[in-house]
Amino acid sequence: MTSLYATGANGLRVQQARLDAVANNVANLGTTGFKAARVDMVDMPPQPLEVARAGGAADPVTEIGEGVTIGGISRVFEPGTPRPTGNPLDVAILGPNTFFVLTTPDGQTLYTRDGQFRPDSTGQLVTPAGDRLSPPITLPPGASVTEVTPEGRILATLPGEVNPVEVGRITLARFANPQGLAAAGQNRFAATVASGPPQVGTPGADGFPALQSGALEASTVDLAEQMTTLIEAQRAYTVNARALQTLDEMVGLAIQVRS
Amino acid sequence: MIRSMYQAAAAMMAEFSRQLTISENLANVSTPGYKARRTTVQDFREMFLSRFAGGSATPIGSISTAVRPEERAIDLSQGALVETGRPLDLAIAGTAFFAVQTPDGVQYTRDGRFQLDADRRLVTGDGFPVLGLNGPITLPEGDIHVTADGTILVNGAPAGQLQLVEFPPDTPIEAVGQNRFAIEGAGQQSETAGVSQGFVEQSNVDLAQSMVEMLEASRSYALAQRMLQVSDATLGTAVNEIGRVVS
Repeated sequence: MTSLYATGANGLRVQQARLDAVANNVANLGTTGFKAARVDMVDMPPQPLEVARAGGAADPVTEIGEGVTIGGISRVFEPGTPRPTGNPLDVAILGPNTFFVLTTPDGQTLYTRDGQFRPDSTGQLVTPAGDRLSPPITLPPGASVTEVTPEGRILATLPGEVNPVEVGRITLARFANPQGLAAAGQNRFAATVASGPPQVGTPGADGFPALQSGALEASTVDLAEQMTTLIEAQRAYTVNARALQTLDEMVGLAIQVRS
Repeated sequence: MIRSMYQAAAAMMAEFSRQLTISENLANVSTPGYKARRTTVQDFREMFLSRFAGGSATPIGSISTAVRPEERAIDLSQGALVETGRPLDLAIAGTAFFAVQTPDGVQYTRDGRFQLDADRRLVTGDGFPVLGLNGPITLPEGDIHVTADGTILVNGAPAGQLQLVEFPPDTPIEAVGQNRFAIEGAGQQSETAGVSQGFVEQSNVDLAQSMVEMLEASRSYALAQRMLQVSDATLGTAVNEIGRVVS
């Protein structure tokens, strides 16, 4: 038999998770390349509620579901609006489901849509967190980057030269099921069995989207939508607390039958 | 006297199970594709009373012995469609269901929050393939557009058509969790149901109605409990007071 209070408690827990997700989304309103997360709720299978009878087997009186549980947290990797920054090494991806490929300092391969790249002390392009772009791109000493073309070519003027030359090329990765990617923190994701292996390609070819230089992708968090979810989750939380309280009062009455 | 005690207890049990169902509905007040459960209370067996006097029985009439919760029904009314803008969020307007291939056979759902798996098959949130007219649907890379009759177009080329299964009214439906239903019997492709892309169907739980029912259930329960106490007190009087020799 299921706990009498499980239904209400599950309701509270799930609505709490939605409130947490809203808080996290709103906190990332200004985070480059952030994708709003959604808590996907599903109902739970019914369990027979049994009443034991003297001298007989337990008798299923009715079926009660345990209410609700979290089926998953989903994100949609739709492109956010590109916001101009003026720095040519800020790069936005102009299409969904594709990522920049990074190598972390400890050699792990991760994926991000946050395209803020800067040369480190050796001229290698890295993210603010220190992850190297993969395959690695090293700027020649004294090179000044003028543009990243929509096809991912990094153009730079070398000292004493007038015309910019290509110093490296950015590649992108895409996944069959980006929902299956695991969040790795700091706006990065790791490939999993569910996401499938990455397909690597060049921007603007084979269905890979083009890049925009001098812009960063804005967060896809829609404040109005988050506020609606917040109010709805809060109301749903209250009403579940109320249901739990009512059930508890009924149990209290049963206890007081002989008093 | 004993009879009224049993009746009161049965009423308490019925109202309690009603409250559990309301709790379950309220827990799913924001679960897409959820269909509210309904409990109804039913008369237990009726019993015929007769009066025996002077060697003959005179019929008095019948009386219900108790109430009990009836088997639960599922309210399949349409939930509101809410826009999400996600290309693989699909909602049905009409009476049809999406068909899902699970290890326990084909199950049906109104929850159209689908995804692509690692093989680019259209799957539910928990990874089971959504069935088209020719089995699971695999989508090539490209822009996905779903038309009202469930045809999926990728870059304008048809990639499959979703099953939108309709069942005759009064077909028994069993909720099996994960927003899915097990339905025995043969359904057929609906000709009236329409699919909306970028929408989800909200839960059809009516919040105000549920709150009213909750008040009703808790008050009826309290009343039945009071009735049990009164019956108990009356029985106590009968046992202890009647026939006592007053000294």
